[in-house]
Amino acid sequence: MNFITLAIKNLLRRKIRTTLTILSVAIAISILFSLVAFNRGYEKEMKKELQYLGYHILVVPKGCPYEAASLVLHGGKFPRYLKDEYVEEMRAVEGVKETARLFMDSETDSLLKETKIYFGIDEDYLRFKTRWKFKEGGFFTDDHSVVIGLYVSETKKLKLGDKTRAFGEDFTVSGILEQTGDQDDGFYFLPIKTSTRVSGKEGLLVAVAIKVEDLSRIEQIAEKLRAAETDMNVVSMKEVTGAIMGLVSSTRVLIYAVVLIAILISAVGVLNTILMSVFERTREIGMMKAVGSSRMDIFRLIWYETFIVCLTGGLVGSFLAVAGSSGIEKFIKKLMPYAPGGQLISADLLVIIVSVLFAVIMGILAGIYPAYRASNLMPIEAIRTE
Amino acid sequence: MTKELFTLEGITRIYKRGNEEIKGVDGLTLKIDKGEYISILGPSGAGKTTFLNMLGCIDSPTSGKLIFYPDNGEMIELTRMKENKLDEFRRENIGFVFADFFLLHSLTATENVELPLIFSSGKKVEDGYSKKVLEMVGLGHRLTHKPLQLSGGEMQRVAVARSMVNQPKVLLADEPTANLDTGNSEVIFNLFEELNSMGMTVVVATHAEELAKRARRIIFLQDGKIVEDKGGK
Repeated sequence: MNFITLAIKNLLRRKIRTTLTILSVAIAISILFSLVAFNRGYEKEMKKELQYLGYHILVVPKGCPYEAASLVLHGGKFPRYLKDEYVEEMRAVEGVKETARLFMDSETDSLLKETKIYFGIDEDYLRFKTRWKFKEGGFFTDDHSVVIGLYVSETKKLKLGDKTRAFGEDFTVSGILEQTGDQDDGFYFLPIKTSTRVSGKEGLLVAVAIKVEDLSRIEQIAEKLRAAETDMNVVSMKEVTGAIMGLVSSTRVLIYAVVLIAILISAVGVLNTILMSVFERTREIGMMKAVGSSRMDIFRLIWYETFIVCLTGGLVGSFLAVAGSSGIEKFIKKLMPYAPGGQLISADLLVIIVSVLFAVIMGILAGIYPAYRASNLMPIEAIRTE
Repeated sequence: MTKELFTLEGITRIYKRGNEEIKGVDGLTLKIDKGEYISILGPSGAGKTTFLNMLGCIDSPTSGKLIFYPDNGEMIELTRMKENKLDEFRRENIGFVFADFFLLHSLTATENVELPLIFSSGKKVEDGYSKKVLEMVGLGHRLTHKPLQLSGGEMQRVAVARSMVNQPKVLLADEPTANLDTGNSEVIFNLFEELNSMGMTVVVATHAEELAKRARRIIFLQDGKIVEDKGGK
């Protein structure tokens, strides 16, 4: 027998209490794990999406440019619009290589509680989406064609030639995209003219995507575009990336605050359990001192017990979080239909290590006071305790 | 080599209960030689347990001197020793047996006996030594039994085996038969005699006068003072 075995046997004496304490640690750690993994996954996917966009500059209606840019990225209903005629002015700006009109609208089925996002595009858009490949079919064949993302095809069981309804009109699937790994997987792409018409927004756009000839002149070109019209915002994707990542960072602070509170509550629970067990075992500790254990021996024993509880809780919590990550991801995606596509929960080894490390640190800290209390018991007083 | 093991000079222990001061032992002065077998007799509250606690260094006197003489001829004043050194002293020299056995119910008989060996700088003993000690106290067939599967007498024998496993010089037993029937009490005292015959100093505090008489020296305590020391020098 050694110290670890003794600590484990001591913990097993009160199986229910130990299990509940481990569970409380496991819950705190699985919260930590899920939130950190989600934050990492979200950031990763967001960056990936921004890289895949292919835009250098996005021109959006007046208002919060980042809100508009985010809506373009993830879909949704726009509060304001741009006039179609601006596109020609933009094309005329020196340094602009390509432009693409973008329109977007969504339709929510309140019965099925699902939102369909329609993206109005024309052939110009294909020059931005060079990574697109068609799994089946191709681009629009007429003004009532629809190109769908792979996720839409799989979940809605839509095949080439099938009909789908949007804003009360029938559209025929002319192409199914291969998996893009971003939000495009979940979009319905409609011919821009038809989509503005069915939405009642003819001659309006939600954004204009721009590619520039020389990336080093992006800010100068953006300035020229800003000078061209006053009721629009010109944002470079560098700015969008920075702003979105800034938001992600702010969210991260909030997430860590929540995690910290969960861990703190759990640590107090562990401390309480171990302290209670020290009080209950006062006479036993007195006996151990009488048979020759030192203060350090008692400290180690109680500390090991706390450490084992927290380490086990950390491992169980991480396992639960990994096992349940796909379920959590589905849940998050249901709650946040405009979240980036791809894997939102990035449960890599680093997150596992960080979570278990947190549990271990929690064990180290939570164990100090009970261990100190136990080690300071005077043998005679401990033995006399009733 | 001196034959003395302990010298107590005016050992007094005062406990405070509210504003009241109670003397657990009052000016105890005596010598204990190596290999002695001593019974401490006296009514409840006479100071028997306090006396044993002083000898075993799990309590410290309010005043007086307690000196220990190890085999190397040195003289150690235990009353001036620091707590960590006292832990070490207890680990190496003292075996304790309590009325309540104090066995850990989650451990087997063997594991309970092994307990003092796992503490830091515990004595290095040969593998399987705890089993041998259990066999010596007649529990070779109960090695893997847990305390609740044992009788009271067997539990106390496990406690005696635990006190012996560090091969201490002194065995201190505080009312070791208080929770045992006559037959089991007899077995425990036989064990003490056997250990004493092997050279171990045995000091037993008891109410059982008949069993106490088996010791070569009997100290009577009353109100914390020695009122008679039969067989002492």
